Amino acid sequence: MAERYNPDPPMMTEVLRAMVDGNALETRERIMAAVIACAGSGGLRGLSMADVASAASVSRTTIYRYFPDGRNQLLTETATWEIARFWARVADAVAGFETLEDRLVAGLVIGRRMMSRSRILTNLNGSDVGDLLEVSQPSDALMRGLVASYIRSGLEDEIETGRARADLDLDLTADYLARMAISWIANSPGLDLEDDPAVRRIVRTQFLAGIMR
Amino acid sequence: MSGRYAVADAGLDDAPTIDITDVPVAADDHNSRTPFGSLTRASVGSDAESRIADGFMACVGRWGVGKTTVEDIAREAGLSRATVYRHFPGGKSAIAATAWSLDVSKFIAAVTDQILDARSIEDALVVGMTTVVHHFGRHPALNFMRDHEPAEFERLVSFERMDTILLASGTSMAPLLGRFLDPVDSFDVSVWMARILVSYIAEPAAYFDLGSEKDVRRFVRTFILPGLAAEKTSQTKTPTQGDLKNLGDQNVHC
Repeated sequence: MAERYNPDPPMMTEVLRAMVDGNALETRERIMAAVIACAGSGGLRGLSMADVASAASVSRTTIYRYFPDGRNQLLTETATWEIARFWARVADAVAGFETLEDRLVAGLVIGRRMMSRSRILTNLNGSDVGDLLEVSQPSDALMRGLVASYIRSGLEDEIETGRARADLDLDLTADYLARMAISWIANSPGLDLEDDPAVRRIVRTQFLAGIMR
Repeated sequence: MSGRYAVADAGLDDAPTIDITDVPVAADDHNSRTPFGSLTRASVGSDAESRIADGFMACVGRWGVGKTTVEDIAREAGLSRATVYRHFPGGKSAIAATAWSLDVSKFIAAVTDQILDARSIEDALVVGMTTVVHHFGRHPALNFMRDHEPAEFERLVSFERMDTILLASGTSMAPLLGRFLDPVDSFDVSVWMARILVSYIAEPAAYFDLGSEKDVRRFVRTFILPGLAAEKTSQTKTPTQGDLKNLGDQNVHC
């Protein structure tokens, strides 16, 4: 798995910005946004290129110009784009907080809220889960790497200010925190992630207890 | 798979040796089934059903979920197709569900045995994690899926299933940690361990080897034990009672 990890990833926000706004073509984005809209109302299974073309107000030929490998490429790249947008929004939302603890607490609350409002996830039925995983799985490692690199820079700041232990293995720790954040945003049974003190308690114990001084 | 092996064989130096005895691996020889603890026995169905479940795991280990047919499973189990359908009218997906839940029961039994011998919370967590990792590390079906059918693999631990997996881990493992921790902490730390294990088994980390007891001990000392200590001094508690009630388990929270 080591080869899947980029040892020196650029800042998460830069990468995400480039993926989301930067050089992305307007038409390309419009097509992907149409996929999200169609998937939100009718699921992934029945989603056809014709539906997407009509929702994006482009021809099917245009879709194939941007996604020459067809439906599978369109869905996989849309999933990566949408997940990147998700994390970019989380990163934006927590940017105003100063400490790593506050950013993690805010990130969990906001990430969870966004998940619960996703039409695709809300309308998901059994047979769609596999389809969704099929298209989202390829970006998993990339996204975790980006989240870890974002957290890593926060950790470095905390070490500099003396709040975090100086002897930390930064890569291991950032990777651990990224896994925990992703896991908690996806699944938090028994915890109301809108309950700030409860979330803070989790962050202090399960995320940061061994990391902060 | 009736041999013994020690974690120390995996290149560890100063760590104490842990015997992982008869860690049952799916797709095992049907005739030499390890006698599992009561936890398992309760969930094991008929002999034919476990043979079918084993047959499923053997096929998946060879060519994956996608290419495995009910025909293949029947042949592997030495049963007719009709018999297989009599036990599992739902076909392949029903067989898969039973096979995976039997598999989980097997490793819970293996972990239970190991944790019962632990003398401290640190040892309990280390041996618990190591046992689970070894079980899955030598699991042909899971390894095939992870390498060749990542979407099928992810489906096993997808977010819609994870709540159940996490809560079930809490309920089954918490009583074992009751010697070292209070019930709420036992439950929370069990769920926490399950969260960590799922993540690292699905996507191994470049920075440490979950199969190495030394690395796992360092991990437990760095991230888990300080969290447990902090928990002790914390003011508020996670509201887990509701979930436990939903699971109908009265033993964890008395």
